[in-house]
Amino acid sequence: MCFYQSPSFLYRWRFNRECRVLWRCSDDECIVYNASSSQTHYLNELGAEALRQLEHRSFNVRELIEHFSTQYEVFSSDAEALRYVRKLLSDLDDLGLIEPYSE
Amino acid sequence: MKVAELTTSEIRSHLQSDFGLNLRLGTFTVRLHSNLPDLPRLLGHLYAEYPLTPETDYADFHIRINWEGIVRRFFRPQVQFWIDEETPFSPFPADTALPFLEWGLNWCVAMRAHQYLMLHSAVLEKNNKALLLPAWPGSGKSTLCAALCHRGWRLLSDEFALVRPISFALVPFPRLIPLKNESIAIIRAFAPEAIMGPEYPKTRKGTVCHVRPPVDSIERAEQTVQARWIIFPKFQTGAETGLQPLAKTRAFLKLADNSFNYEQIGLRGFETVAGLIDSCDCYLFQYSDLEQAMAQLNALADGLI
Repeated sequence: MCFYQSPSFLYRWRFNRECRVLWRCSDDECIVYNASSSQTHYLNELGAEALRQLEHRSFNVRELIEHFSTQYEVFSSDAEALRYVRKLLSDLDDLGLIEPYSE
Repeated sequence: MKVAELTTSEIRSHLQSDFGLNLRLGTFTVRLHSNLPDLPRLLGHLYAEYPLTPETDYADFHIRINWEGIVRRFFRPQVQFWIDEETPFSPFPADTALPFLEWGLNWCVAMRAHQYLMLHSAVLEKNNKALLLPAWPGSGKSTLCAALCHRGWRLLSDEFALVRPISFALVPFPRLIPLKNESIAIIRAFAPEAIMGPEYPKTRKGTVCHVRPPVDSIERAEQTVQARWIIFPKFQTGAETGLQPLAKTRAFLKLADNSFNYEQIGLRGFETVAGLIDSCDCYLFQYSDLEQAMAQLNALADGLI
């Protein structure tokens, strides 16, 4: 199966509505406190941008790559970017900050 | 009334009475009971400047250090630490009663004082601004702390930064400073006027020796102060002394990691760490020479850096 057609690639992701998060950002890095789990997370620039976007609307992997590509000049839509974004979403999912859903 | 106003015999009587010896240690009152023969003399020496509270006053911690059984009094003598009639630790050698009392009291505070955000950090004050030195053991925190408080800084605490949520005020808890191994000789040479207790070899942390905080620090233990600098110290033999600015997000993570109860107190912990970070300049601090370290930190406090 082509990577782009795998089920995980087609997932849509949204902010976990069970979460209430507080942000503290400095320069390009952010600390996110999840009041629902009492856990604190460090997010780099892309992680913070992804979570911020997901707070407002849902994304699939392709849409998030496109967003990063328009937001950051150095971000290109190649296989490495795909791996990075999939890992990023997986990490945010593991932290309970986002969730997959189907429309 | 201070401990110094009691004779050794009177301290012993208090320790063996139903009411105990009620020591005021900064924000906490400790009601202490003991039948150990050497403890009254040690307390009279190292706690001389600490205030006593009336027997009828509320005590935060009821601690008893007594012999562990008749046999153990004569054969490899051991003593037991009791808090509220419970024994959270295994018995320990009788000749290390003072280090265990200090350590046990730290444990009691760390387990119970959740009205504060508790950081594993020294706290010192100069010009009404507080310096936090958060660090885990082995970083040279206590050595730096003992040196600073003998060069004009007021000691709020060597071990605990007690931070009030909302106001972020630092609450003094000036306890004995436990120096370990090489640090003992370093401070004896650096501050010959320092009042120090006996050396205890063969503890879990090697040789330990306690330094009494300067009198001013004990007498001003009611005065809270706001934080101005958060400095993560690291002693490194031969290293050049230097302050390196630290990004606020990194400082946040390091400070939270140095807390005893950040996760337990939930949102208050996050907000309190955030408040501290917002109000402070944050640095990494590497040092190997105490005089240079003093000069650098004094320059920072005096606004020269």
